[in-house]
Amino acid sequence: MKSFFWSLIFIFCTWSMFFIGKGVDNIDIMAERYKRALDAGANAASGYRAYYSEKMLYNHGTGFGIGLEDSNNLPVDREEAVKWFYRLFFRNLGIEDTNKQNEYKRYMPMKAIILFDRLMIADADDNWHTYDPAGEKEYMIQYRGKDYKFTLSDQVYDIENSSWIMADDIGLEAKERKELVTNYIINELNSFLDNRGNKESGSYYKIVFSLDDASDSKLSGINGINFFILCEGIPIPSLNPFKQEKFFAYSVGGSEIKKKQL
Amino acid sequence: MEKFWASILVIPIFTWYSFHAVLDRDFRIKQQAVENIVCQYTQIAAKKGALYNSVYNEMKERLSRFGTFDISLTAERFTGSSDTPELIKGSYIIGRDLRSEGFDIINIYAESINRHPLGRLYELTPFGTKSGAEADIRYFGKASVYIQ
Repeated sequence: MKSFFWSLIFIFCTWSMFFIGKGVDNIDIMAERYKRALDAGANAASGYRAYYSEKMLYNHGTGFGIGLEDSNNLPVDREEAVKWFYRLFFRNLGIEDTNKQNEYKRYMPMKAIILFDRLMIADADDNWHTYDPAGEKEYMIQYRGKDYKFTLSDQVYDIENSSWIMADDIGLEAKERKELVTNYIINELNSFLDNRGNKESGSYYKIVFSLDDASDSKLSGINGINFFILCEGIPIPSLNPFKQEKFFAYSVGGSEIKKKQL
Repeated sequence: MEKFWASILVIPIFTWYSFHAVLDRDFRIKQQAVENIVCQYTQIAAKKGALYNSVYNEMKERLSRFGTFDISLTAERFTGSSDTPELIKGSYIIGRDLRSEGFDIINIYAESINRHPLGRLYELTPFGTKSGAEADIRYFGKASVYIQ
């Protein structure tokens, strides 16, 4: 009787482990698929054909950016960018059904476009106005007691004097300027994620960009215009017979939007 | 006698579980490899703006290590504001200059012709009877990349 009892215990433990482990195993595979789909989507969002026009790409410059060789100012059609992102994202996951697509969209809490002088963030409903009523926010940062509008280059707008100046005019080195702007963007992204509507996963995310540019400045901070996205992914049930659990295979993707050099 | 019955109960389950562990691991590793191969070659094709015959053959050769694959190729072109793209498919797209023809997306889908034994295992209970589950498990890889 004792052996029989122990064999039942063995069977029970084996099957419990089997079902609990199944859900966990699936996270790895899904996280990798999301990552590929996000990167393919972000790549399309940052390079869709609409940018390939003379108006958009060649010698572009309105307002700030004129006459400066290092300017990376570029207008972005955010609706088109998001549309192209979805096209590629869903194709990579093989999801054609609109209802299923809408279900996935609920778990994509943030689509951000980091522009030359402003930040735009769309929520899970692709609404840009949740982040800010204007639908975008300029990099308005206080430095030494004064408000300035910063950009991703060393150009800074002095609000008080209504003029464009360079960062070193206010005693700010390029490295410090980049750190200041990158930190501002990081805080905005994290704050948006903390206040997102759908918190079914119960997770809190912290976006971090490297700030140490001692080795290679290209690998640190935010250097250019980017399309950036976070996907929590559709909940994966754990199959745990004892507990109703859900796992989220979150992943991030991003791609830099660049203009063609002449 | 009691131990005999206990063993009769435990050994098949242990055997089934061991088979599962081995086959599941085998499937996951090879499935990831297949997905990586398809993704990698689709990216190459998108970057080049064309799926060259040599690239396609190399992909097929690498996939052949995991069995025989049915490979589906499509390219999509969006025109105007329509969300319905113009589609071309099949070996017809190999070697074509998709970029200059205005195609936006290249899709490659590869699916193994052979079923993986893991599916067969799921169709059986540890005691050899039919489980009632239909598990058609095959290696596959799917990638869609924007043609820059």
